[in-house]
Amino acid sequence: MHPHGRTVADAPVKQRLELRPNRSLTGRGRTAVFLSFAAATVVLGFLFLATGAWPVVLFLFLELAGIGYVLTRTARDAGDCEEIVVEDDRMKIIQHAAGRVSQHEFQCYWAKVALEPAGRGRRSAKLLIGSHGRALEIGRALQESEKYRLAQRLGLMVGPAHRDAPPLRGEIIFNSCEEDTHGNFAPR
Amino acid sequence: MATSHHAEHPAGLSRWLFTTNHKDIGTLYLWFAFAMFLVGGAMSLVIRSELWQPGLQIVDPHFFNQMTTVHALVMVFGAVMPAFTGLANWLIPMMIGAPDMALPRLNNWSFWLLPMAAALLVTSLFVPGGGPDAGWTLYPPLSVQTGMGMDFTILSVHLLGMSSILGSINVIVTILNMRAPGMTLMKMPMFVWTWLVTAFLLLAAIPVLAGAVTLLLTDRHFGTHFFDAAGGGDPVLWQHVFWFFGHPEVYILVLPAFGVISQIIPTFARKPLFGYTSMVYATATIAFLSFIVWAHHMYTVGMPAAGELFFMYATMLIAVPTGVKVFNWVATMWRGSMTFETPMLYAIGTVFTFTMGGLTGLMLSITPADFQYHDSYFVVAHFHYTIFGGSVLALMAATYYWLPKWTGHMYNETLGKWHFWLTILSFNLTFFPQHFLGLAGMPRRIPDYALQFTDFNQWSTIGAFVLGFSQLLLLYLVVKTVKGGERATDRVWEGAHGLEWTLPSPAPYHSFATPPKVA
Repeated sequence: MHPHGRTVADAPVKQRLELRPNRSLTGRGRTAVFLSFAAATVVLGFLFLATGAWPVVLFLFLELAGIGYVLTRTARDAGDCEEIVVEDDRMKIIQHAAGRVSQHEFQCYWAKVALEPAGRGRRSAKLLIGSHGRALEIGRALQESEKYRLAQRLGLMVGPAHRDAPPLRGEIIFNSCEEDTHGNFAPR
Repeated sequence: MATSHHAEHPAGLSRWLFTTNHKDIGTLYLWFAFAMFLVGGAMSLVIRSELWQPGLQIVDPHFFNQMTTVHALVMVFGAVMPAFTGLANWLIPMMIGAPDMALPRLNNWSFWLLPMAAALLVTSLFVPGGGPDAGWTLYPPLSVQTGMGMDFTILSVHLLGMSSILGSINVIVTILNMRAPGMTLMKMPMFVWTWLVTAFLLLAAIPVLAGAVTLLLTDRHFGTHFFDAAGGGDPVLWQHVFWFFGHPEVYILVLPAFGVISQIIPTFARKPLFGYTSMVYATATIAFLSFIVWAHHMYTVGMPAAGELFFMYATMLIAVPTGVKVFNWVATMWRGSMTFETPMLYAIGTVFTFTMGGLTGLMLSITPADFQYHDSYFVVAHFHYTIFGGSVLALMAATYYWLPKWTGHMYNETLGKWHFWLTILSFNLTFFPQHFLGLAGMPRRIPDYALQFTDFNQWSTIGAFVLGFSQLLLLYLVVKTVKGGERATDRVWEGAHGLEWTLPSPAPYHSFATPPKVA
């Protein structure tokens, strides 16, 4: 199930591929985790208020705020995904990131897929799709080997021979990563 | 294709300072913990040297008190807790099929708070008035009246607590949000389960400690009287607040050890863990009970009989889920195809010594009996049987068990067995006689004692020195294994199961780019 309610099977289009990071915590799970911490904080807060050690309560709520922040970030990123939809010789790329949605469209015939290899100063390869002077990075959160595999699949969907390509349908669930300033890969 | 890139990683100092890789950070935690283990161990040798014979020989009583205090703080907060966090960093992502911890930058920060905190704690020994000397429980009024070293300690405890909270949030989010498809909660390895419960315990207990030491600080410098009876406060309030943190802290130190043992025994018994579900519920039950037993540390302070009865029975109840665990470990070994490599020897040693510590804990839980044992060497023996016998021996078991996976090399089995036998025998030589000393009436935290306690104290001191120097063998063995040796296979142990054993040895710098599917 897509985090925004659609499923791959529902799609009334010719071809669709979805890139979705693996997430095991559901919205209900997140709420349950936060509520359990909040309940414990309130109970302990009353206990320490009653005994006169009121400054303990400040630390308890400070911690609860930290947990809330992390869970909110987790919820915001839970919907992150990329959809690649091919329809009537057009390739649509819909990116969901941090609660925002952006859509980009390319002509399959003219579009090109390029993989810029990792180099100095940037340790991760960059997967680009573009045409007519525009380029868009896709699969940024994929790890290196997955980018190569995706580049191969997308390469068949563009250019003069794109009509003969095998159908592109399904989803890639991956352990998402992004590169930090020191070249380490970190989960998003 | 192009996966060789994943073997690349930054080198030099910047790798370790700025790393967000869970394996690097795990390694940092483990080396830091080992260094602190040696520092805390050296302090214990100062204590044992002074106690070699009655009278004052080597250090003055004030410094002796600083040694007992800082030894405990270093061992609890600097050695055992970081060591288990190191194991969590190394193992949890690999066990659940995640590429890293959920919040890697926070992970880096969590670690680098520790050396700062440790530096403050150790520096406190050299400031005017000396280090903290009120015991690790920091009881007022002494902790309010003592020198500037206590302020260093309070700041250090704040930093250590912050590191623990950040680490715990990271562990919880990683386990809940980054499990591989198919890895349901009830399919998680026991080590992951025990760490999940431990992280919840830490989040409930550490803010209480932070609040408590802040009260201490304001009493010391800002004119408040939380613990000053002359100003309308109550020193017993500290004891309640401290032990509300302090008792769960004991389980924070020991639950991950239970997880380690639950991984190792099935491997070398070549049988699945007996009673997995009951192990999970026993872990959660122990965690819950740990929050309602704190006043068993305070029977002699004075409280209503109903309160004493409640805390006595609640404490005794802990023996039930703990007994379930011990029973399950024994049942796992029952009729198994057992072999006794070093990790298994340590695991069995842990079960044996921890059970002894648990039984003396039951003795201490009985209110009228506790009036006899309280503040005696019996408590010192009990505590070390649970924390050294339970946690530290399990950490050593874990080191031998996963070292081939971490380094790609097998350790020297003969040296490992030497290390085990030296450690277990000298540990018992050190702490077993302390039961008798306590029962005979020797109080804890004193540099001098009556003549009739000399023999047992001398046994204890000999044991402590052998125990301390035996750990240099572990250091040699680990360094030797890191540098080279026989290549380890991916699975390493014939009976090992779990996702971490599907990875190559040594585990690659980046693992599980694609989440594995768990059946």
